Amino acid sequence: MKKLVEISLGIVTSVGGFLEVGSMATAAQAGATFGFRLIWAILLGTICIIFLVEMAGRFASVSGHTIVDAIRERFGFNAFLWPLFATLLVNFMVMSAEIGGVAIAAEFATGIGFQWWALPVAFLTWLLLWKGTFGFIEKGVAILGLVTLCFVVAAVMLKPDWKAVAAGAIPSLPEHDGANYWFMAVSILGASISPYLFTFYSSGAIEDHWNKTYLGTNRAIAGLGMTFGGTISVGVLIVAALVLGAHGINQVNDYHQLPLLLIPTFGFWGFVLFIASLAIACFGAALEIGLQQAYLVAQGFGWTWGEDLKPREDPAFCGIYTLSLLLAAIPITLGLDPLKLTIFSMAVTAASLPLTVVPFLFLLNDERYVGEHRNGMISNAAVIFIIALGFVLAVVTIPLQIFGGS
Amino acid sequence: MDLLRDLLDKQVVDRKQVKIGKVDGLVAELRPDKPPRIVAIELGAITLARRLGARPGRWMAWLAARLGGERHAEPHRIAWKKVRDIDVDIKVDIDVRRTAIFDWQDWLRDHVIGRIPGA
Amino acid sequence: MVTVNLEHLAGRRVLSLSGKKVGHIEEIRAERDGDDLLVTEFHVGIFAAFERLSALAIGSAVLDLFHLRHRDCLYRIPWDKLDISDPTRPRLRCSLEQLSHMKVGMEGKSEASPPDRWRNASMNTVWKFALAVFLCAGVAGAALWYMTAARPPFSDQDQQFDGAGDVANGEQVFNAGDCSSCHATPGQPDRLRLGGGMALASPFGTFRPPNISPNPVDGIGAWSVTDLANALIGGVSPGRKHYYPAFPYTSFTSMTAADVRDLYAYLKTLPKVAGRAPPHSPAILFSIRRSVGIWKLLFFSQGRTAAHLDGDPVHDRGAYLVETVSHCAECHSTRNAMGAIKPDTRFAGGIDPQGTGFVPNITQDRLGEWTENDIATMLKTGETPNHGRVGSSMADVVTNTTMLLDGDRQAIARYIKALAPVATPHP
Repeated sequence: MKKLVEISLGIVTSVGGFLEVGSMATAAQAGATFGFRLIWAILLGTICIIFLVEMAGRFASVSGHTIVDAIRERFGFNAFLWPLFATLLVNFMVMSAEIGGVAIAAEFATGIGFQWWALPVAFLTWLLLWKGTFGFIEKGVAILGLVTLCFVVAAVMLKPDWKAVAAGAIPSLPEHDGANYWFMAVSILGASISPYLFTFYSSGAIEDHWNKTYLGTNRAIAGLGMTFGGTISVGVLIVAALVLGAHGINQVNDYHQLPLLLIPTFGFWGFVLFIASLAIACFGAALEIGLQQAYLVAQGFGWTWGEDLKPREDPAFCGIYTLSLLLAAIPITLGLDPLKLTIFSMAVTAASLPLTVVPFLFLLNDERYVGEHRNGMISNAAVIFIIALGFVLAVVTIPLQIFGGS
Repeated sequence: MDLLRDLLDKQVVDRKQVKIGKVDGLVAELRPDKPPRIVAIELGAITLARRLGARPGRWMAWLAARLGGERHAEPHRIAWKKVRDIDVDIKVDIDVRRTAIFDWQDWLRDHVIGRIPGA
Repeated sequence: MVTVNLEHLAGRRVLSLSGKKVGHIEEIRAERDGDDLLVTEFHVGIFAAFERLSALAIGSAVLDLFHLRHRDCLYRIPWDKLDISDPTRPRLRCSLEQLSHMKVGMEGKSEASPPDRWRNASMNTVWKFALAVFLCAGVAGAALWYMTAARPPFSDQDQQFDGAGDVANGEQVFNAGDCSSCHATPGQPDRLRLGGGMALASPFGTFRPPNISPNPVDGIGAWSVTDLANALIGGVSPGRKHYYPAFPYTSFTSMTAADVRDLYAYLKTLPKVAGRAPPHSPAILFSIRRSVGIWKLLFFSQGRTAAHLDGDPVHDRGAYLVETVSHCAECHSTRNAMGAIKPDTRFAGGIDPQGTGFVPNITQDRLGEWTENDIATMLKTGETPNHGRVGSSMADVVTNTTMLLDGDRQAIARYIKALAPVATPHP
């Protein structure tokens, strides 16, 4: 029974982590511009992240190390600096985008411009990290995050042509806007396969004192939780395809077009639901990434880390998240368009994948860490596939960024 | 024991289980006609910077001396005889509060973090 | 006490007495001796790295794939055979001869003397690597070649262009399409002598519109109606080459079959002009026509139009004229680094690629004050509502639009009035 509660909580938590401004914005854009045709990208991304999250959890449960710890240990300090800086940078941009997402939701709710909200949002995030415990943050955000299920409800109520939805699960070549199509696909993959998801998950496993008995739990949470998150993304895409298309919007280039998504289904409450979903999903992600920045540095340099410690007991750890939240609020305060930042940071995330995923190939096959629980053929094939995908994405992202994003 | 695999870059915890850093460096004594002997592990920014090259090492040493005084001009060393256990973590028989390793964290606590309400 | 920092040895290159590369230090082995920990061996070579990363199986598999396994496997160099007094420059203390005895063959077979081996190995590696690169490049190249091929969208069997064309409508299409502005022979007054040759300067080189008079040798007199359709709608020449997008097939691509057929009939009635336009002088990147195929993959989609329809027949006729036949957006938009229109600046004006200044914004951001009739009048007389006249290239355009039917000018005006305001992009 306890395990069951644990699993359901874990699933809900991973939804909170999975669904953030990146997956919402990319899914909405893809739906508006290309109908159901990019569903395959969400599916592919979800499958990849299931494998990576499962491995990160398994690694932490069996070895007692987080992924970041182990990268430093196995590959040495000099090699560690590359993924460290890449991830710090990507996290910084994504966190900024998340703060922007909450700020936009606040703008919808109050009418006051989003840039005024960036600092209050960052402050609120910081306050929760400062005062809250890991369990409180994880579970609180997770349960509130269930509100995003309204997208799935809306998708079903709009009665899409399920055959067309299923056809979208198979990759196809675009009829128009080739550059934009591939750029969207890359952004969706970046939004789904975020390095912070699996590095955060492995830190969470240590914070929750997982051990070998949690392997089954881990598998269930990784598989079901990420599937759940992916389903909501697909929901957003379907709603966007049906609603925005019907209103003649075939290109989302402004956040203000988004609240339209839920209005045809739920009326005024659709507007409220959208704001709540956007705010909660982005707020949860901002919390997780803030923590992740601190985990990353503290684990990499071997300092004390843990969200349950009082700031006074762990000044370095708390100092890092304080600083990174403050820095991440700056671009939004200066008025940088959160939607553009989101899409850009998702593409950069995809390009940074090889740096964080290549270590999985070694760590998860290292008997000194994972013993008999090392990767099987399928998991290794998945890692190699993701690495190859990451390399391709890294190579194509930059030209697409220049030509497709404009 | 394989030094690079089993020792270097591993987590160091003190006698009270406080995580004090990673094994950033390993110091060996060269003796005539006898194998080199490990005498200490090193921790800290200066050691790490030196691993990136001679010049970053010099810069970091200068910076540390400027900020922390003479006490911080050299990397922190923990003598090999203090190392108790080599497992997932490296356990050392010292009390981090009696060393200079966490001076900067103390400073951060006393001057910044501690002044924020609720810390 | 002389001490060294061992962490500096990690990954460091070992040199022999004579300065030859031996390999990189990947592991340092130590043994306990009472309370002391003593360094006993240095492991050099790629397999030592595999051992450290517990990746012996994967690493060997990769090496086997390229038949590199016989390369220097693993040397276990005893502590007294390596001088580490300067850990950034470790040096062998023994000869290469002695070193070969420290080699641990991963398959246990003895090796030839190291220097020869290395030379062969490195030759071999380079060769294998080159082959792999060559193969990958070949596959990628073939795929690219296939994807960038110019394929005419219509064949001669296509019946949608059959039948006698309506010359009068063809003339309207010709005028609406502003064909003569680019294709008329420069330096003579007759706008219907389509000898081509005007120089169109752009950041991508200078392009010269060809002779499209019905001359069968120098012009397009030998073309079938499908050839014209392939050019306008597919951007592909009868010789199966891509046209440069200086020819605005990106707009023409959504033309109706009837209009193509009528235009073909009208072009047949025009005077035959002898002589060809000088060749294009495109920028280096585009001097290979195939590269236009890549451009088209990215930015061209056949049959697509940016027109917004609203059901009002006048407005929708205007949409067809503005977006497709008259290709207004081709000049009145800003282009990206690859010369394609940035969708969010469509009709918002931009730098004239010919370098004659800034083409105005024609969205409601700037034309908000103009009435529909003002626009229609401007297209007929060239006069703007504030008693000015349009100039430069637009004056050429007006010599053609002035011959349109009143209804078509009204349609263009209505569609332009319906364009959403877009701020003028800052150059």
